[in-house]
Amino acid sequence: MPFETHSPVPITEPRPPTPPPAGPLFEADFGRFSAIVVTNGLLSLPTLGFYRFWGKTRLRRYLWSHISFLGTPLEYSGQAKELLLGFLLALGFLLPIVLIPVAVGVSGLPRNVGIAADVLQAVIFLYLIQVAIFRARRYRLSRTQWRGIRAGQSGSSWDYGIKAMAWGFFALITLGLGYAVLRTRLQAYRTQNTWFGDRCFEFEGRAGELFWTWFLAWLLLLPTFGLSHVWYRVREFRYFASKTRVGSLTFRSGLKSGTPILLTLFFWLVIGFIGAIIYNVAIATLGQFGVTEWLNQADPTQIEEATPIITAINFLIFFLFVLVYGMTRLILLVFPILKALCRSLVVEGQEDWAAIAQSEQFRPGRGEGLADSLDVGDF
Amino acid sequence: MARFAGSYSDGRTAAQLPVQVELMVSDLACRDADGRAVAHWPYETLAYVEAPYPGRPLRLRNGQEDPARLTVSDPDILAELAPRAPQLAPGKHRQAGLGKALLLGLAGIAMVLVILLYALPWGASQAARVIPISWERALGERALDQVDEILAMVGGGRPARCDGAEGRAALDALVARLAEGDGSGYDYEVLVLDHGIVNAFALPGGQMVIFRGLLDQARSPEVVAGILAHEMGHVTARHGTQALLRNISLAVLFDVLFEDPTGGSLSGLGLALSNLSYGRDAEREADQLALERLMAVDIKASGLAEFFAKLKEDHGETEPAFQLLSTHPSHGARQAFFEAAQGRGGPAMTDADWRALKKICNY
Repeated sequence: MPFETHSPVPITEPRPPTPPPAGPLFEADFGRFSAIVVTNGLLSLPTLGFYRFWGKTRLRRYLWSHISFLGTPLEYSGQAKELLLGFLLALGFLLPIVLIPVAVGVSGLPRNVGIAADVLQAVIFLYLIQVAIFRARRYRLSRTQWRGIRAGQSGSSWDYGIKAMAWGFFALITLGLGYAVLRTRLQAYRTQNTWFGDRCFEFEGRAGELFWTWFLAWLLLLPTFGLSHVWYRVREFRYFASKTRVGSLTFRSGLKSGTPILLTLFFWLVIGFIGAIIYNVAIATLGQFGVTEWLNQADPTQIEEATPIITAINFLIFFLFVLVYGMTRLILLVFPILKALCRSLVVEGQEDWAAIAQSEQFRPGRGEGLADSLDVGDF
Repeated sequence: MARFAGSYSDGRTAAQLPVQVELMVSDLACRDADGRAVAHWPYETLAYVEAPYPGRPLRLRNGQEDPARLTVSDPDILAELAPRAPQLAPGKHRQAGLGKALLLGLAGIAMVLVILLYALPWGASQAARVIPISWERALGERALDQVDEILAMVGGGRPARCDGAEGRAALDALVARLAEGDGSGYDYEVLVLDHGIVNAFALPGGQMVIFRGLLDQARSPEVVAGILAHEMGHVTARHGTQALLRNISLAVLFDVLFEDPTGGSLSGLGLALSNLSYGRDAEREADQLALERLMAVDIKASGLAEFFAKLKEDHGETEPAFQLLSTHPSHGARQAFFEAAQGRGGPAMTDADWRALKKICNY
């Protein structure tokens, strides 16, 4: 190793005879978390969105440092410039794919070739979204440390993407009934490729054991306006936790679905409310400056003259809504659900921490560009 | 000598050791329960793991490479450390990044402006020049589909094509006369759509569309001839192809920048096809080409001057604030432009042909 320590004596952990069950301790403060989210949102406007790399890094650093296990907080060592570099690389990568239907449209090929190009592009994007999800997870894990030991992820993001597309197709042709299989297979791949130091996580979950839970949720999807999906995901989280182990540690969660369901309902209410406010304020502002009146008066030959104005207004409203949606989601949904997850999780078993060694194998150099570009990376 | 209780991990394994932290002359020492030193960290290389959060334990590291970590819960250690390791003093750890992000944002805005105002129009006009006419024609067909769909959406289904035999003959004769000797290589074709809109437009590749509304409103065949000449100007100057290429690249640019390439580019392409406004310079150029064409085939331009005079009278000028954003020159300016050539040239067609053309949709 490249560093030097003055440690002539090997460190041995003093072992209490029976360790009490412990879980992650979530100590983040709602007010401070929200303040960071709002600051990031406000700074995104004048910087044309470029602040998000620094903002995301700041938010993660705050969250990681306020989630601790056995008295030691996690540590996030990612840097904004890695995210920025990843974003720029992803831009270069995505541009040719974005251009497929355009190239077909311009080259004057028949119309159905154009439709085929659109479909091909959509499939490629669906695939890339899955690839990006896996790569972003790899980046976050490799930048996560606990007691100075790095976490990591093995496996191939291209394989993960193929699996996700294949099981996604299976879920599609079974009219959604295969969704639990998709979820379990992907969770297995993710977990079995997750490492803490040189210790790999194990997963023994089977989709069959979730089938009836999902079947019930599937039946109730329409009558509950999709809320039964939240109920399923809570049950799924408990099941997945119980089937995960690392070394001699096992996991257990008693998460109840009441809180997540209420949170989801409240979130959608607030989003509807905010959307209505943004829309009405925009209309009122337009009226204030006489634009509405002018648009109504404009004669038919002039309709196209209004296009630049309408486009600019639409774009502004869209940008504002996307920004506010992201902020609201972090504050009202991500924070409280993460808190509930941490609180519900119990870690059992006795681990010889001195037997878990640092591993040098997981060190990606770049950020999660693809994920950021496709907007699938979480907080 | 100041002593503090801390927890030490050596970065090799996940074990943690309770230690006594001693602040020596030139370094910080960690001692285990037996008093043996497990780490000596020089003050110069001492660094925070993260800028300290109030009320949270202080986390220290030795340089940027060493994964060993020291956690101290007693906040008093800060006051003792600050004089020895000035890099740890409070206030030196402001949130970085805002300056850089602002710079990047400004550079981004400048780049977007340069792209919007110079690079895209230039690139589109260069590309439009080399695209073969057959490709332009195919693009035009796609754009026409889009127009049909939009008209069907706003009401009444896809508008019918008007094809009264006598009116059609009169129209084709007018187009042939206007195209006489223009040497552009375009195969012009005019569609009359049965819809009340007072408008006409040109598609890339030589197709033009006139709405019945325009024929109803036109008081002389010279108006129709002038408008057709104007649209032919758009075709030969390849304004439609340029606008299409510009709009498509713009849609692509927005999609990539604003993180939603999936939904965006599909709809963006449709938007690009159906939104063919060319800008004022292009309109002026088409007016200029129209005037030249009308004079070349000896048709009087006064029809258009009257047409714009009537538009101004009926609807007034665009309000000055919106003229900056407006895509056409003002009616008054266009009226004056065509009045300059007044008096010269003859009629566009016979009265009988004009009556037939007026009735092309209900023959």
